[in-house]
Amino acid sequence: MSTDVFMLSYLLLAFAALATWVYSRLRPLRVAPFGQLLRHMMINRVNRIAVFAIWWWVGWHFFGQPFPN
Amino acid sequence: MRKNSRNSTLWIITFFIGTIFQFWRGSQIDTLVFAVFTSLLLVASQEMLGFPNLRATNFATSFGILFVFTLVFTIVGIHSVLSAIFYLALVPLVSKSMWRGDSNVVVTSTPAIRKASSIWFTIGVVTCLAELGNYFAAAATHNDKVYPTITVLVDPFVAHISGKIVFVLLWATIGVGLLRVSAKT
Repeated sequence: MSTDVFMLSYLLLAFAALATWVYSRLRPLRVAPFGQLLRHMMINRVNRIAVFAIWWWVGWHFFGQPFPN
Repeated sequence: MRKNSRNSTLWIITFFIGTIFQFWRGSQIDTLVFAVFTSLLLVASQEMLGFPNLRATNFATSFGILFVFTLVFTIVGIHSVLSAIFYLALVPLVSKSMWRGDSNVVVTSTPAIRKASSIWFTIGVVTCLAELGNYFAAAATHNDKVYPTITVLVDPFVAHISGKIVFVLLWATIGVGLLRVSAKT
């Protein structure tokens, strides 16, 4: 039961992300598509470093980290 | 300018919390990684420091390197010293692309961008809170099957070669996409 609830929270978040992505593609004047938002963000150096850091760390966390705990 | 400063502070606080969290959970390497990220963001946000203004790496070169890395990552064992070396070798390439100066283009934030920003920020924060909630609940009950973190859910998937290829390809494609967007701005 608990597993279902917690799994449901992840599924709801995935659904929210997917719904936002689809809605922004259909109504770009209401909600900017993710690509447009990313282009807007990446103009700023600090945003760029933060976004790349998150991307790099995801790969590092799942594959690179030699001593995971 | 004020908005940029607010963004910078938000990112620095986020990565600092990440550093504290990694320290608390006893991961020394990840503590170091997050501390380095926090320091980089801190330095980048202080424009008076006059840090080097590196040019972005050529997109074709970046794509070629990431393609080779994807092949290598699917061959070498995960969580091995070799895979760690390859990941660390990516840092100079990525740093070169991200560390260049801000574009001179005057950017205006439209209502659509502000709304998208708020929605994605909320999704990101709620995801982190769900992950944290599961992490603490799993630690308290010693049961990560009932309270699985994203890592616990993804690990069995990437343990198989097919899952590993899919994940690495996805990860590398996002990286190439980020480099592409970064090169265009």
